Amino acid sequence: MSGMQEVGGGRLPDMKYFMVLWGIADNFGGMTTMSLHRAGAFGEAGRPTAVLTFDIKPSYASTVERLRSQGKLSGDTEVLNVFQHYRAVDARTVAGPKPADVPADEGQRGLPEVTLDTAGNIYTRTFLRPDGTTVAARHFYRPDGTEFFRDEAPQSGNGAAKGRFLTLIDDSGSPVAQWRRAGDFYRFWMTELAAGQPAAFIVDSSFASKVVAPLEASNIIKLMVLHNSHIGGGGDPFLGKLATGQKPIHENSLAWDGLVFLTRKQREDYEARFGTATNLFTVPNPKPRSSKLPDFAGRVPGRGVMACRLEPQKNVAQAIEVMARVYQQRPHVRLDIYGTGSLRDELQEKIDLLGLGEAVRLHGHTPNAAAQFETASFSLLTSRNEGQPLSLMESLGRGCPPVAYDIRYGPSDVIEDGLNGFLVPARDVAAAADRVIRLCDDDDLARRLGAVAWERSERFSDAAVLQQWAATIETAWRQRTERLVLVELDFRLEELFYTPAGGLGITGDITWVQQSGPAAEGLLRANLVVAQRTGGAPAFFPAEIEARGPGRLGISAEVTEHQIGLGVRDDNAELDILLQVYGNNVLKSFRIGFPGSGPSWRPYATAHASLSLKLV
Amino acid sequence: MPAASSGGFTLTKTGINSAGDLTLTGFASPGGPGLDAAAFVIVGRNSQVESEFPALLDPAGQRLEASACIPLRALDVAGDSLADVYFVSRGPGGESRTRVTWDRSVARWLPYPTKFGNLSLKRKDS
Repeated sequence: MSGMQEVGGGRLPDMKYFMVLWGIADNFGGMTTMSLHRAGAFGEAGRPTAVLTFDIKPSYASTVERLRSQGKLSGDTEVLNVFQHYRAVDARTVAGPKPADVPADEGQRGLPEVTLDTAGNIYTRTFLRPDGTTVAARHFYRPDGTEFFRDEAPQSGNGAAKGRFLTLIDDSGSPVAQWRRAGDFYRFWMTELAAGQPAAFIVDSSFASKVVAPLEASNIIKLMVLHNSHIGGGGDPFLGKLATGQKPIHENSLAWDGLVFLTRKQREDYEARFGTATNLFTVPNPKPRSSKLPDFAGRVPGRGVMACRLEPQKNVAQAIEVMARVYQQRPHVRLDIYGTGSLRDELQEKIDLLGLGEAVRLHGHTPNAAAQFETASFSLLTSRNEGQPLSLMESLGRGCPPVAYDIRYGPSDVIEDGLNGFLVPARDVAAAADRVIRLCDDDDLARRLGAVAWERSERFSDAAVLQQWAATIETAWRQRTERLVLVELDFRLEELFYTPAGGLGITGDITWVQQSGPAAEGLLRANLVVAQRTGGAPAFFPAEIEARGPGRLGISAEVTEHQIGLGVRDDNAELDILLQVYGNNVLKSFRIGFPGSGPSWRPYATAHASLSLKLV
Repeated sequence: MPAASSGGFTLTKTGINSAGDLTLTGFASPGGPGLDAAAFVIVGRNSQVESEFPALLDPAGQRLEASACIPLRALDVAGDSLADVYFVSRGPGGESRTRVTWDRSVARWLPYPTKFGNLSLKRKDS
């Protein structure tokens, strides 16, 4: 492992570590919690880790102080911000791209909006266009009042954009470096932080992924943690569209040294639909468990706990419906819900409407809500979709048996139904209510399930998860020189043909521009993919490589009528055809259409299997 | 439109290339004392406007291979968005016309273009 000390035995490799978020909100959820916790766990393992942010915030000092006091941020974890960093450094020491003159802004702009830092000094002046939302320019100031950074988007008199200019300025007012895209500025900072040493950037925020994905340096690896289902709304893994926030990540997955899934099940679903690649990994979130199983006598009989944001994804309304059913049979059972969110008023209204004021209580945001699982007899999880629900891990780690919907993803990876909790079908309110009643009626059952829950949560301890991170990072680092960095990866269909027995075939060219890595033409391969429109895994059929050359593979693929129908469920009446390109870190699928540009006449078969043409 | 007669055509392959040409290959069945010429005819579904494209005939053992490459970009069936493809054979016995089809006894998945111009397959009889 050149440039990095060889390590073994599950220890994190000796390199610089950074967790990447966009920012740290005042009331954050599971993703930020886990990112901060992971940074702390890496630090405790001897690898001090900084958390990187890119939001325009004058200071993180009070946030850091609060988080440290709450135990959410360890003492040796720094929170770094790109603007705060360049506010503090001597700009003359920054060897960035040479600045050029910024064109005059001839567009209209209003009076500046001013933000102050915690000491009352001006931090930014922001000039907006007349629409009130478009930023014309933002000026950043040091505590001494000198300007250190200017982000400008000048326009011509008719509103035409003249580009974007991000300029670093020294304390004499002279520009010292300039970038033309914000992402380039952010990546310059990240490269400076790595300082030429082996470095790993672990990205938790999908929003920040856009900044990190294009970062390419031989001393840097980039890993993206997928905190939620890759399918929008946690839908069917073979039918659903990619989740909006994650779509750019998966469409350019080759940019990453690692895409890290939190659960085995999610990765399996992903691979069954899209295929596999060398940069796919599985590492669960670490979750500290109580050092010993909390005494069952300390649990309040009939008390349940939920800890989650009050947002649509968490589906708390169904938890209330579960409790409405429970209440009819066991009016003494209570559910305490910790967390806040946009649905709070709506949910309270529902509680009141159902007459559950005594049975369900919204407590709002509560520091260290996880401790509530130590005194509860059950926990409830009714989310629509997750990556790996934090509250479920917290419940297990404190010996509190969960009743959870079997959603994508998380519950089925950690709950063995009837052994360490209960798993019920998603949206099955009656089944969830039944399991809650069973836990509240039967102390022996609750005690037994809680004990197993705590014992089995060992595999999510910091030590266990750090071992998996160590293996993942070592593999990603070892593989980095084999990573294919390609742009403009595309497929051009040359010919589509049908055989009278119902088979079909294609020929065409896979093309790309290679930026680094071993010669892609020696590594890339392709499959013709037959995907089922109404569900079920697609079938993959290898394509023949007809020609190889730099930036081009000529391929042909053919499937018979028999192959097309293999494994297709009876309820599937339609199939879609794709081409999957894969090799090393490359995994990309192209929908197969018709050769040539449209609209044009396309051959098709009528219902009577006659050849016709359609103008599409 | 003349009725299909005893002449026939057995499709072996059809496709479309990047120039937008429809390619057709199959075997012609003379069905009579001889076959002098053959063509593929594209008929606008509503307008019934016909465009004819000569087929290349090539003896292949006991059989006669017929093929054509039809430039669909030049297809003139104004006002139509659907058109049907026929094989026409001409010989001493006159002209016969038959619809070009998949092998109906075995083909179960039939191709069609989606509204976005992508290729999909539909189960026959669904």
